[in-house]
Amino acid sequence: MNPVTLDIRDLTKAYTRHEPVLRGVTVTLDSEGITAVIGPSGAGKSTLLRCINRLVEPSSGQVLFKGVDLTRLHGQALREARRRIGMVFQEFNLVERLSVIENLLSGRLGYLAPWRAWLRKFSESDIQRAFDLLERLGLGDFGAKRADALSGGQRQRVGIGRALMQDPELLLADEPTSSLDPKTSVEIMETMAGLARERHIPVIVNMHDVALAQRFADRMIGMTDGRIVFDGAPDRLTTEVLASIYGGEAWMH
Amino acid sequence: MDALTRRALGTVPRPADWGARLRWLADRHGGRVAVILVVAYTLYASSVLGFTPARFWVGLTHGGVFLGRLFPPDFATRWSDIQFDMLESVEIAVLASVVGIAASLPMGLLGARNLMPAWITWPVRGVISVCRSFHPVIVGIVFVKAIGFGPLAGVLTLAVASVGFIGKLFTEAVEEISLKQVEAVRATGASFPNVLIFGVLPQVTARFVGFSTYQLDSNLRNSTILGIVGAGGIGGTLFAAFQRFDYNIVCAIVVIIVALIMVGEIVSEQVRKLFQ
Repeated sequence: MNPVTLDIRDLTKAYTRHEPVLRGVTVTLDSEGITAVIGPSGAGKSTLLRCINRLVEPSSGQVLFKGVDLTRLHGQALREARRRIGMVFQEFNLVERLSVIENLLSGRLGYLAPWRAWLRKFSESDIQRAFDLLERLGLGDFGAKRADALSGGQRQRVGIGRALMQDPELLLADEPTSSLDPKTSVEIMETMAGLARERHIPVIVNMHDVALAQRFADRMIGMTDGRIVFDGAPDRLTTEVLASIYGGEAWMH
Repeated sequence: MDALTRRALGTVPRPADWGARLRWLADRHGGRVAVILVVAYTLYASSVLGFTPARFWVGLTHGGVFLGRLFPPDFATRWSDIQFDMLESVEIAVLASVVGIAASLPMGLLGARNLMPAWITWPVRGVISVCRSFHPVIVGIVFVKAIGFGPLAGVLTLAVASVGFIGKLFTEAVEEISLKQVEAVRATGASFPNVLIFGVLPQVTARFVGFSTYQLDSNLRNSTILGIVGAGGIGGTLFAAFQRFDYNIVCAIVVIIVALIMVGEIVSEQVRKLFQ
């Protein structure tokens, strides 16, 4: 039997001692579908995502990705694991002074020798894929534009494109719509969910907008204070559950 | 002064307590005391240096005579010397800039505390600040003594100055980059060199080019003075002309230096535009 995509066991993280942000998170993730993580600010959603690809060092616990414990990897092995995990960011985090196409191609940097990166000598197939993807993202005419010339929604499309260029086996999205207006948010979620489903890539997405999360997610995880307090289908997310995740009901009315 | 104000200002300390008395003085009358001290020192310094209106007037008259003797500029008499040394100055400046810029790029990256561990940044920052510590003329004298007269000493002198200037500013530029962009490139599994190439350098290239062209400007200017300490270039000829009272030749050299620096500024402005 193939190991599940992601198996997180008793993960903890404390940036400063005695103030843990994650207090023992255990969760497994199957090979497909969109999992939305909701919860109040400071619940540890971002930290959880960043502990998976080790942009943040977990304090203890295990993160098994296809059976390999990522928390034990270093150097080359860690980078090889990272390039199999795509990430989309709240503030897009594009390299602003590079062109859109360079930003897309930067998704292939894990496979590129430095001298080739310096000379921008990406393989012909990578370049072809980047332009195809650009077309799919509806940014066909923007390849040569500098990334900072784009609107928020366009930038996030590039962000998604960059992650997909990695050919990831898992996609992490850290509040990908929080910097966008409601309409663009829906479009971005549609794009991301559509492309991920089409390629059978499981997605973990942190969200603040509960309704939007329910609309796109196959599974919802609620976090409060560094712990998972809810894990189930979106339609099981009742008012009582939401009250327990965010604390109190007054904000809902 | 009424009793309330006196209380607000605090009582004057007893004369015996000098430390407290000085502190009281600084607190209450700090600004006024500073002004009085600066004025007093200025008067003292002028009297020591003979900086008087009368002396200034004498100087002005001298200056008039000197200015009169500068003209007309004499380009012809020592033209071949001037030409050779001028070209040497340009060569020194360009060579020193190339060496200095090439050295500053890695040093600037190695000195950035947001990218490198402290055991690397400390020595690198140390070297950069030593390069900045001394005026080029002093560094020039040291190099002339160490490796002998000639343009090599000049090149090394200005290369050191370039590392000091570009290295410091470039380090600061790297320390101000957006780490979010770097984080995203790191998340793709890029190796550290690739993170530098795609995540860091694009954010600082324009500024690096700006610092470099400014330094090229500055090296051109400084390369005209190094000859005075024997480190090659037009400075030697200029100094010799002064000593022989060939003021018309001095004038010719000054005109050429001004022209050169203006050309340098135009060139560097164009280069900067190219990289914006």
